[in-house]
Formats: sequence, structure tokens, C-alpha cells
Amino acid sequence: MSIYIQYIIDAITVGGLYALAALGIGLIFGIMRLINFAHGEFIMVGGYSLLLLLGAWTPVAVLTMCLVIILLAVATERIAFRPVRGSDPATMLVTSFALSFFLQHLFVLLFGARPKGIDIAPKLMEYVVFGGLRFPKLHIVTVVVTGGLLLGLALFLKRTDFGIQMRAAAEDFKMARVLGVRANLVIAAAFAISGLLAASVSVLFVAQTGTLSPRMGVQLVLVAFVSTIVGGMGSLVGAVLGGFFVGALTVALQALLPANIRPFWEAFVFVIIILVLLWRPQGLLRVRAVQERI
Amino acid sequence: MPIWEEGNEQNLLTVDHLEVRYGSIVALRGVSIEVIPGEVVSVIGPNGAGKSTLLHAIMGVVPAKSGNVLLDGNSLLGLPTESVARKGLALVPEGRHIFGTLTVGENLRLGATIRNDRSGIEEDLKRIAEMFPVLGVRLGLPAGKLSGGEQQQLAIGRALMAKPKLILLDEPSLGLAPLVIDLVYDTLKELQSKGLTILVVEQNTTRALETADRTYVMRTGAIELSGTREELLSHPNFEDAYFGFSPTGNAQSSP
Repeated sequence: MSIYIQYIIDAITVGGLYALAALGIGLIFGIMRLINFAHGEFIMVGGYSLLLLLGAWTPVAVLTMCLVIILLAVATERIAFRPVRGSDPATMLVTSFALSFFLQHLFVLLFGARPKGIDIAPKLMEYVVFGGLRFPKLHIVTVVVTGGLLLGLALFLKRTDFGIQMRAAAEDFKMARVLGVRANLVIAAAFAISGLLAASVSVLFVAQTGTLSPRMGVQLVLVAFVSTIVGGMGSLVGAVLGGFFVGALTVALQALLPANIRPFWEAFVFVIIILVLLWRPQGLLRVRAVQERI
Repeated sequence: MPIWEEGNEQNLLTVDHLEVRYGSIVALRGVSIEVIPGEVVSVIGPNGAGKSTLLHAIMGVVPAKSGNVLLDGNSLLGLPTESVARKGLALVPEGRHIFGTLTVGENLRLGATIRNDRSGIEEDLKRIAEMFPVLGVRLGLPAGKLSGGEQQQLAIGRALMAKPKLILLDEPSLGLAPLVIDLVYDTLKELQSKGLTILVVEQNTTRALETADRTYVMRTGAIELSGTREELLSHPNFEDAYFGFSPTGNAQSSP
């Protein structure tokens, strides 16, 4: 019995991480139809920032890193994406690839291509025993951080005027502007939030894996991107749902596949995702196609 | 010729020789219209005449190649759409463009984005809910669940929440049942009696002529005629201007 509870906790831990990453991508996509592949590099730069801040009191290091990544995200919007805003989605996509490669290679130059070990909070790896279950404290932290961020973001989007404006902009950006919603402000805020989400993923991911590499964001952003598609492109709830779905699938396959084919779990994850998409091509949560005629 | 002519000071909106191109296609070829405060003005014309483009150019959704758009004598040309909205223009777009995943109440609140008077907004929300009872009882419902007629009322209510100086309506009767069209036009008349200035674009000629104080007839990107309902209906070229040929069969090219 307890082994299943263990799996559920694992699924929430992995799924939460994917959900946070997927939400960062889904938020930007919803508002500007940009799939920001450089989101993975926000996560990567966050990891190296933690390396540089090693030695500082952990909360200070984490907060400073969050601030750095938020600024990085807002700066990339201003410098790289604003000049191509409103152009073809393919142009914006290529811009995000360019930014992604630029940041990866910049960090290869600065820190080398080889992975680095980093142990940001050794205490979090200590196990706690709870009701017959044994799991690292880090899992609790992950669940609390994920839950807190999702709840905070949900309240912000539901309850504040600016949050409602952001949701409106995500659904029909041109109409939102016709109502007087300030495009630059909403987009800058979306990038700031995606930066905060990337920074959170960074802390949790680095704490879980204990390694850094300039390409560490690539795999994560791919999984996050797939999650937003499974969840329903353009839906924020869908992105979260997709993240948890892919996370749960990963944990389930790693646990349940026979040992001899277990190393190929990723192939099985993607096969199941393809089947889900054949069943629901619009993703788990359908979003009405946005009409362009205004 | 001067952009600013004598006697124009009283205009709320002046569109002056506006030209809009989509690539090599000329969508508006020097369109000029005027709207005086308190007036209902309609622009009629067949599909593709450039009526929607005119509204989009006024709102800054599409850029103008030349000409000018003035609100209270101040040029709106080149301003981003949100700044035009903040000057007091509200658009009810064709196809309504309500936010389907947001609630009816949130849609209405979004209409008040340009305002800061919190208590005034709450009061107006109540007023709109009374004015459109179908919306009043569905404030917490996702707007995507509303029927077409209810969505049109929501789109109008949302525009009113901005307390606009001028409301622009793009084909408000399109795709609605005749009874619902009655309701929409009754609403417009009620708003007019309260002093709201309205610019409405319509293919539904009968409705537009009935409701408007003055009407412009538009075809292939240019204004062909203008006047009151009586003036237009008695004008010998009215049908020519609208259809591009007279129903008697005399084909005629427009200038």
C-alpha cells in the first residue's frame, strides 16, 4: 500500500516541476503566440546563478537568483522579442531558438561544457519518516513550492484586475487592446511571471539532481512544451494539467515497466502522449480557436 | 487642402481623407466622415466595401496610409490601439469577440479597464445588469456559454462600461435572429436618447437607415453618398451607389 502512496508523492513531485515549467511556456504562448524555447535557458542560468551565490545564506541566494531570472526574462522580451512582436509566429520561434543557443554557448564559454556538481541544500536530502513512508524533505519542499506558486498565480489571475486583463489578453490579445489593456505592460508582466516560474523550477531541479550543465534546460523545456500541447495549447489550466499528466506518466512507467525495457521509458511516455493526442488533438482542455478578424 | 476646415470644432469625430492599404490592395480610398456629439451615424454598404476597415483604422487596429482621424480635434493617427481606447472610443467588433473563458462579470469589468473610479465602476456594473437582465442573472457564468444574442448584448454592455465618448458598432445585427436584432436596435435607440454618440456600420440597410440621424453609403472603399434616411431614399442614385448598378439594369461604374 505505502509503495503506491510513495509513487503518488513522486508523481506530484515530478509533475509539479513539469507543471511549473509548462505554465511558464503556456503563459507566454497564450499572450503572444510565441513558444519560448529560451525558457529552458532561464532555468539553466538560474542554476549557474545559484552556483555563483553558493556560500550566501540559502534564502538570500534563492531570492537573489529569482530576481536575476525575472530581470533576464523581462530583458529578453525587451531586447529580443519586442522587435519581432506581431510578426509571423515562425519568426518569433526562430528568435527564441537564437536566444536559446546564444545563452547555452555563452555559458559553455563561461563555465565549460562539462556538467558541474552542486549541492545547494544538503539538509533537504535528509529523509523524513512519516506514517511508514520515507521520503526526502525536498519532496515536501517541492510540493509546497509548487502548490504555493500555483495557488498564488491562480488568485492573482482570478481576483485582481490586472490578472483578469492578463487572462483576457491570453484569450484574445487584439480585443484586449481594443478595451485599453496596455500591451507592453501585460507582456512584460507575463515574462516576469515566467521568469519567476523558471527560477522556481531551477531551484527545485538543481536541488533534486545536484548537477548543472549549459544544456540542462533543453530536456526540461521540451517536456514542458509537450505538456502544454497535451494539456491544450493556450489554456493555463491545461498547461498545469499537462505537466502533472506527463510527470505522473513518467513516474508510473519508470516504476511499472519491466526492468529490461525500463531504460527506454521516454519512448513509452511519448507513445502514450501521441495516443492521447490522437484521441484529443486539441489537448485535454480544448480552447476555442481564436478568431483573427478584428 | 486644409485638414481642418471652418466649423469642424463641434465634431466629436472627424475622419479626413483616410486611406488604408493592405499590401497593394486599397481598402479605403480617401474616406471622410463626421460625427457630431449626440448623433447616431451609420455607414452602410455591401460586404467588402471597407466598413470594418474604417472602424479598425479609427481604433488604430490597422494603420492608415494617409489622411487623419480626429477626436475632439486631436489626432488619433499613429496611436496604439489601447491609447485610442483610453481617449474614449469603444468598439463592439464584428463577431462580438467576448472572452469566452472569462465570466460575464469579468467581461464587463474588462470594459472598464480604462477607468479608475472603483465605486463608479460597481454602480455601472449594476446599471448594465439592469439594462440587460439576461446578463444580470448570468454574471458568474463563462461568457462562452451565452447565446449569440446574449453575447452581442454582452459586447455592447462591455463597451458601455468604458463610459465612452463614442461607441463604434461593427455589424451588430450580423447572425442574430430578427427578434434579437429588434432588441439590439431598441437598446441603441435607448442609448441615443441618453445622449450617447454612436457610429454603427451595417449591411442591414433598413435597420441602419431607421436608427441613424445620418447615413453614409460606402462602396469599394469610398463614400458614395450621405444624408438622412429621407434624403437617401429619395436620391436618384441611392441604389446605384449601394449596388454599383441600378436594379433597372443600367450598369454604371463608380468614380
